[in-house]
Amino acid sequence: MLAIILIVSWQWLPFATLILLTALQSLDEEQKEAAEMDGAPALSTFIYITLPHLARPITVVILIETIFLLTVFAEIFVTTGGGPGLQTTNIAFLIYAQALIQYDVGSASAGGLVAVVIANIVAFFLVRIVGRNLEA
Amino acid sequence: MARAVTTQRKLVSTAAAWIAGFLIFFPILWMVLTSFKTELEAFAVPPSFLFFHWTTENYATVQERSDYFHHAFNSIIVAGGSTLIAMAIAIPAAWSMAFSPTKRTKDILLWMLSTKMMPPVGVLVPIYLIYRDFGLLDTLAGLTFILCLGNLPIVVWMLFTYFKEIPKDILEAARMDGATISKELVYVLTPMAVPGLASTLLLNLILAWNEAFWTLNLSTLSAAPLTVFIASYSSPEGLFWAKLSAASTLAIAPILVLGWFSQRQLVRGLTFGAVK
Amino acid sequence: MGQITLQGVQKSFGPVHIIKGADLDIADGSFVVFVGPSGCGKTTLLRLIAGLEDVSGGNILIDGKNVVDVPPAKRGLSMVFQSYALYPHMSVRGNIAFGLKMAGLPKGEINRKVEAAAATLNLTPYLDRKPRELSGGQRQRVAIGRAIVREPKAFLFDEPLSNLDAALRVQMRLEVTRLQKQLATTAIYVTHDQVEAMTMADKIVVLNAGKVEQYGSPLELYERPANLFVAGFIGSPKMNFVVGEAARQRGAATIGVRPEHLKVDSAGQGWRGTVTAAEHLGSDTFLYVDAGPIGPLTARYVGELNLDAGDKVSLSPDPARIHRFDESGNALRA
Repeated sequence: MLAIILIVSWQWLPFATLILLTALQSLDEEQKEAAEMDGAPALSTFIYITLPHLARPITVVILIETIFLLTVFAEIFVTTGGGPGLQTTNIAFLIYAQALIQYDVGSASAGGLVAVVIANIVAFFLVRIVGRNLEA
Repeated sequence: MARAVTTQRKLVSTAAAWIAGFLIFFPILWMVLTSFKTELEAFAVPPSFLFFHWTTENYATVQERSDYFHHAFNSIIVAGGSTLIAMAIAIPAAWSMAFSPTKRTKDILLWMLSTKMMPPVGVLVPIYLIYRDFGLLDTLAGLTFILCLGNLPIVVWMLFTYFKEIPKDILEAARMDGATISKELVYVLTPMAVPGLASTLLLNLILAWNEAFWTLNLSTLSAAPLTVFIASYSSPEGLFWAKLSAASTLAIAPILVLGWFSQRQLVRGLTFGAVK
Repeated sequence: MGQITLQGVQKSFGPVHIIKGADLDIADGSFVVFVGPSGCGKTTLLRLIAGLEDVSGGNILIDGKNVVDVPPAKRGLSMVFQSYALYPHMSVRGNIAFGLKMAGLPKGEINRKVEAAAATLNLTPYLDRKPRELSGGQRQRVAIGRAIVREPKAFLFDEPLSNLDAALRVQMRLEVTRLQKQLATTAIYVTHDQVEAMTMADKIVVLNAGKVEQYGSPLELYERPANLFVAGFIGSPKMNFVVGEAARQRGAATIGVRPEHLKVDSAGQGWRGTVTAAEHLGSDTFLYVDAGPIGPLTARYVGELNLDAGDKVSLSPDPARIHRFDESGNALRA
């Protein structure tokens, strides 16, 4: 399981870096200078100015990654095949296994629905945030 | 902004950046190196880094055993086809949303995007059954179709943001200069949209190439793209690490090259909507 | 050739009434400036004439022909945008030639005209550059070149100088006026800067909240403003307004005196007050005076006046230059 976690983390690290880097670059230099004129030390500037500015991108990254990582499939399929036993089986792999290996279409369909519902909940919040960006 | 950044500070941050970059790239580097080792060497503990007996026998075996070119060809057809068809559908859609928005436009856009957030596994069963009944399993057409639909939301979204960025007053200037709608399109709008179209095309080509859910589940051999090719090397026949590395290197090589040349567009595409 | 008439033109964006009925007669060859505060509708009016927006009511006549249903491409007008709106993927030559290309002129003639326009505007060395390689002033001239080369019925300018620095603005002001006189083409120019309006215009249209407050020559607006708004808008520093007893004595609800018509009276006649601030420019002295019940006053003295904050001063208005306004703000003429 740890292996899968490491693989997927490594795989998605660049995406998160990209978004956060772009967000950092979009922070107005003058805001930081204003803070410095106001006498803020580097750490305070980071906590009170940089982090709040990053709050939105961080949230978006977390939401996007949650949605896509909930259904990690290929990595499990190719490396551990869900094993040993069921130790690295997640919902995506379970559905796959039930549908195409055990031919239990009923359970697989049910599982599919559950996966969609969970993803929907997370997606609701993500769509709201992206929608707000659209207005801007 | 014009304050001197100390040389020491620059050295430290540059070194840190290089190290971080190297660490991230390391797994890929290791894989390429392993592909040139013999199976015995690939297994060795502690693993050797650069000083081993370099051989290309793995590449030969891989081609012989499972026909890399067949799968590469499939990948090209499926990825290329699905992206081009998606673009053909998306350009008019994004166009109308960007240039004649209505009250509903934003909702439609968000809905399209939300369909991409649905885990494909949720519809694995129905799609598989439909494909089976229509004889679309393991066909290039079937794969192209589903990948096209899967990427469509992203293509529409990216094109929308690019079209929106075209300043309205340049189009108005064209109108004042006496251009009819079609001339405005041909002489002003399209040239300004070309960079956006190129970026979208590239990003989605890459996404389609790497798509590993539908390609693994809906194809076995004749229509199988490179994703299946790699997966087939992890079977319980035993661990052929060197050969697996060779297969993987071959599989990702084209896309790595393409990605390298389209870095800027990739960044653009991947950060849509996340940052103001 | 470039006579433009507006008849009862109205424009609403949904429930918001931007233009509330505009009637104007713009003579061929004249330089007319639309001026007014932000949001008064001057740019909207310009865009209605251009055809970039559709009217909600009324007629727009160009040389006697109603063009409200004619698309902008066919109205025969040229527009210079505030942001210049140059085609980024075309060279300067391409930008200027575009309109002629759309009109289907033969290549030789296009080249000839483009080069003539470039020569007039000193753009010849830049003809093969792209807009992103040019400075703000150069881009501005390309935008103007694009407009003049088509020999339109009228030029429409949408605050073209507002993105330039002060020195360049003064220089371009002169160039635009000179060019317009040379070409003898009608020009409609939108600006929020009343100095630009006063120095460039043959006639000025003062707009406020979608209504035409006054339409006249710069001097007419200065000497005979039709109402409080125009009186306060034209002239810098602003006209002094006095209400109360001083106004009633002269048979008005409000009276107005321009700072340059307030004389510093050494004999102590007139309105007495204390200087709160004095600005010494060398060429002029501006006095900001607190005149008690009369209110705050601004006075302009040509030359250097040795008064500063705290000094007592008497200001007497030139009786011939007192403007009188009734309760609704309209001017009262004797």
